[in-house]
Amino acid sequence: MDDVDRELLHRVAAGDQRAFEDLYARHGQPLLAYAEGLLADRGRAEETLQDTFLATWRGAGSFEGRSTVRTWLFGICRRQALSRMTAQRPVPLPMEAAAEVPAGEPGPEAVALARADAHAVAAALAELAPAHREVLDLAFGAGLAHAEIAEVLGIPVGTVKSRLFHARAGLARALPDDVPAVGVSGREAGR
Amino acid sequence: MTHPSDLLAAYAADTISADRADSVARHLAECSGCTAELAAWRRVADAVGDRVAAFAAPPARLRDTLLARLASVRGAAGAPVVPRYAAPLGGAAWRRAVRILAAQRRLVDRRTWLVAAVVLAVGAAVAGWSPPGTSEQVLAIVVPLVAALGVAGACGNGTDPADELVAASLTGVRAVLLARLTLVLGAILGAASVASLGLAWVDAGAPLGLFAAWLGPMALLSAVSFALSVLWRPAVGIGVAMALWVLRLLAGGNALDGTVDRLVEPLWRTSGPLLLTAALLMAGTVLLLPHLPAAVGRRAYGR
Repeated sequence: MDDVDRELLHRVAAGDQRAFEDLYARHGQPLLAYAEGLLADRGRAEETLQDTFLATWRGAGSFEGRSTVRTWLFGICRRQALSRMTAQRPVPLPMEAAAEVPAGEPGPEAVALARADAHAVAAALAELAPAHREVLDLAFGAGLAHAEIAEVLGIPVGTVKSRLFHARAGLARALPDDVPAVGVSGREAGR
Repeated sequence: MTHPSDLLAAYAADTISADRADSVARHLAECSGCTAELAAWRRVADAVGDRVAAFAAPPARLRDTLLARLASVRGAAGAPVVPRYAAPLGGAAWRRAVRILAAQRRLVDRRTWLVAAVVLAVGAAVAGWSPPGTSEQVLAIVVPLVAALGVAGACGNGTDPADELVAASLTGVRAVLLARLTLVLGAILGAASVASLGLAWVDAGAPLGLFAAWLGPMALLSAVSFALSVLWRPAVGIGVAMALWVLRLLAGGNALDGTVDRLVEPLWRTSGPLLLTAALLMAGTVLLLPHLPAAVGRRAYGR
């Protein structure tokens, strides 16, 4: 996939508008969704998308192949979106260093999530810290590999993994109270 | 049995390699814990997928506006599609060089400047206080160390908070690195020269002797530190430069036998071959830079 992107970008650098349109067709939608997720504003997300592709058009020649084209585009889009985020900068996340990656046994939050219905999870998603929502958007919305997310966010791959776990835990905490692990312990108590 | 816990998210998103996915699938067949974990990730993935799918696709007018703006970018008096330096930065080469240098000043970590200035000032003060004839030795110890650390801090691979921007800008990586090296070495060279002249003025030593004491080792140590910091990583550059430095300290204190002494001592003498070696090392590093494998530039990429 990246080979196609590289070829397209190479042609864009040479001024090929058709290649530019192809690149837009391939990545416009996920980038717009990412921008809209970040900004929560359709108008500014569309501006972000335009500026991202204008920057790509101008800067295609300076792409050095250090990352995939897709990662590069998401990186540009992120900078464009952040520059529009004057009022509400994403809140820095507290305490991410310790990644408690569960092994073997599913944690109560995993159980709660697996049981929750789609509406409850969607509602919880809206409550999530912006940075947590962003990493989920990149991983499950845009379908970026963890290494690519690390590149876009400028953090180590290990931090991407732990941030995903933290995001999931935050999601489970934001679920309405009647769904979560209480039901499990209640059943156990009843035995 | 090791549980592939940190692969499950990527497995749910279908973003891991096929063979890894196979091994995860094999594990899932016999591990109920991981299956429940995966179910939770799938639930998250579905919710995020639904949310993203609810965002409307880019409307056609957006594409039209974009293409129209494109034409105006390109159509401006037949300007080249990718603007070159000449346009934004003005014609003369020396003026461009000055601007690149000025830009680096802001990008080099402020702490690098601060530490270098403090250590140099303290070193010069100690050299001034020390008994006659030993000022050279103090400078020979302080200046090369400051240069090696400063170069690693300013030029090292992965130390630059702006390197993503640099990579996307129109300035070549070589020009940026060279500018940064010039700036840091130039500043330290200037400060050390001022210190030497000051010491000569208070009769702490002969001017030429004072210069010769630090110039050679400074060139070599900073070249070693530069090459390793850029081609590998700053910790390695600093480590090797520090090792040379400590060997020299120990050799000076008669703690080591003659062999090490004979090996290290020539590095602390300012000579033509030594300066040439240092210059070649730096030039080679700058030449090699754009041909490094992709992953070297980005440690965070993780492959």
